[in-house]
Amino acid sequence: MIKHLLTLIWNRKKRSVLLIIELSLAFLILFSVFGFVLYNMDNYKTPLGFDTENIWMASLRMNSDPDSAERVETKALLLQSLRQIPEISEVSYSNPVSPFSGSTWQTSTIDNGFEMDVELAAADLNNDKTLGLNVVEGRWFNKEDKSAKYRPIVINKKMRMAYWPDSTAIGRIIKLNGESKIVGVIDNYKYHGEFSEEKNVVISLFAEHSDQNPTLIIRLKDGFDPTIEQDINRIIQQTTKGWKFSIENLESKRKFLNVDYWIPMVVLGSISGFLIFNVALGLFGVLVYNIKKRRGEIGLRRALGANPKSISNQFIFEILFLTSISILIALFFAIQFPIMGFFDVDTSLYIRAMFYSALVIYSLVLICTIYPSIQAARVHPATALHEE
Amino acid sequence: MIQLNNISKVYKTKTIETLALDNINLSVEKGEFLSIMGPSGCGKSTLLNIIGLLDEPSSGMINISDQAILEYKSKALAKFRNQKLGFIFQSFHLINDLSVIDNVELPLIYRNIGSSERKKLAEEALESVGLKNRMKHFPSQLSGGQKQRVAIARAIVGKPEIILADEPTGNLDSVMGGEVMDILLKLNKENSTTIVMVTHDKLMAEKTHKLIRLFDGSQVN
Ligand SMILES: Nc1ncnc2c1ncn2[C@@H]1O[C@H](COP(=O)(O)OP(=O)(O)OP(=O)(O)O)[C@@H](O)[C@H]1O
Ligand SMILES: [Mg+2]
Repeated sequence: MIKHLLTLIWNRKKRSVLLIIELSLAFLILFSVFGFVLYNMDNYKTPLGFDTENIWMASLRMNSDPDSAERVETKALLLQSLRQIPEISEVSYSNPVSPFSGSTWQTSTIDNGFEMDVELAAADLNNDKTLGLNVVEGRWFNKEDKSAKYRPIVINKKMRMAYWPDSTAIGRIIKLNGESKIVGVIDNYKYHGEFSEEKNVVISLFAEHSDQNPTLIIRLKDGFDPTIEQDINRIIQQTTKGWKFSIENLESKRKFLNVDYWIPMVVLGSISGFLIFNVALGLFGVLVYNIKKRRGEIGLRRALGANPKSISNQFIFEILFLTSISILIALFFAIQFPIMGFFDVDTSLYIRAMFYSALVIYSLVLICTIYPSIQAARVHPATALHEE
Repeated sequence: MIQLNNISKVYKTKTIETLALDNINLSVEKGEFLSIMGPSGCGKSTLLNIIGLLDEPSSGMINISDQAILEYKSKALAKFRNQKLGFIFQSFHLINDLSVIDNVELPLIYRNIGSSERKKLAEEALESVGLKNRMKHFPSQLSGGQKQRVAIARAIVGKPEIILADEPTGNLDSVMGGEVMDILLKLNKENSTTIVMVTHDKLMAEKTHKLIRLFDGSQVN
């Protein structure tokens, strides 16, 4: 039976070309949409690695005053004054490469023969507590680090797994802006935003005398009074005597950044949903037409001994087979993405996108086949044979 | 072999009721070649469809190859048709997307016979209608007479006890019609296949054992 049906499909191939092209294209559209959405959702699912609730950030623009001693003093004074406010549980500084700031500092280095691509950030001794960073190996910076022989660094787990998957990273000295020693590993640090891909991050100690503009990070206690923002504002203004700054809530910033990802996903999803709906309608039409055109054949098969079930099975088999061919053709193109490495993403992402696309296409085809194949099974042999 | 008792068939449509067959009684013996004649619209095809179990009578009893048809369940009937009956139609009803041999194999496919066995039987059937050399052709590449011979090969490939032919020569010229008729006669004679044939051609009908005439759904003598 199968061989017979395959012969029939083969002989009818010219009439199936359009259908195959349509289904292949539908698959490829779905594949790209699923790829895009899965990529974003995978990123979304990895933890940020720091808290956003109750956290406020102020990027400070220091005066162009060259007196670095005074700046150091002002920065220290600011921390002190803010710690006086009972609602504040912790304050610390980082450099401008801070959560959701949009700044990045990329570098790459060749160390012991392998190339490392990393992003650099800086933090002070209290940053872990202010942001709620989770140290999983080693430790966070401490006072002794300031006078350590090697520049201490904390890296994220992603980097640790990328370069030292089977051995420890703690205590390693790598050449990165001079010799740096890994003292700790934090689990995640997606400072670009929830939907961004996590990069290899190296955090070094933010020097007190650095001439980079500091970012002030403030952690408030639960249930704080929102008017506290004014107090903070005032204190910064008074203490810094004219440094420019703007205060932002990290939680609102997180949501704001996410909109940039949700909108394209929803728009793309809707457009492709509409496209797929049209493909389904077209497919349904083609299948109904096919049954109509082949009533004579159905009548004949019934006369020669086919029962209604084998008639509907025949049509379901035909369309499922054509669908599989279409998917195989589309897969040939889809598989080029991981093979050629067009995007720097995990192969499993492509496989999942392929799987979901195939699932959608098969379900769609099956749904569209139900009615026409029931119709085919109901064809009355005497009537159908009479018609021709 | 075929026994019809008081068979009537009424076609009901929204506007009219047609009495296509009116109380037909008929008996065909094994190995008999029966022809049915009558003017257009008198119910010949209807009668053949009822014998062929493609249509259900409105009333009456049928007994085919010693089996009374009591229930019209599609699945059982399909199996019965497949094993006992062979059909030949005026308009051939070949599947244009299948080659000659694939068309001939069709009844065997619904018998779940393996493909090499099918091929062997189909070749034999084609040989007996003189078309073995056209096996790989498609119906569109054949003449009318050749198409009908393919249809005959398809009807006999499963070695059915009964062949039902509805104007098998109706679309053919007299030479081709004669060829087809000769094959049917030979089949009847050599294999003692029971044949019921509808025809408009008096000369053809005269070559058969028995002739019945229908008029407005009733049998006339
Ligand atoms: N499916 C149907 N629905 C309604 N009426 C039908 C149907 N099939 C046949 N008839 C009617 O039944 C009558 C007998 O039709 P049938 O096809 O048996 O005639 P016939 O003798 O084979 O004619 P012809 O020689 O033209 O083939 C006709 O009046 C026809 O209109
Ligand atoms: Mg007729």
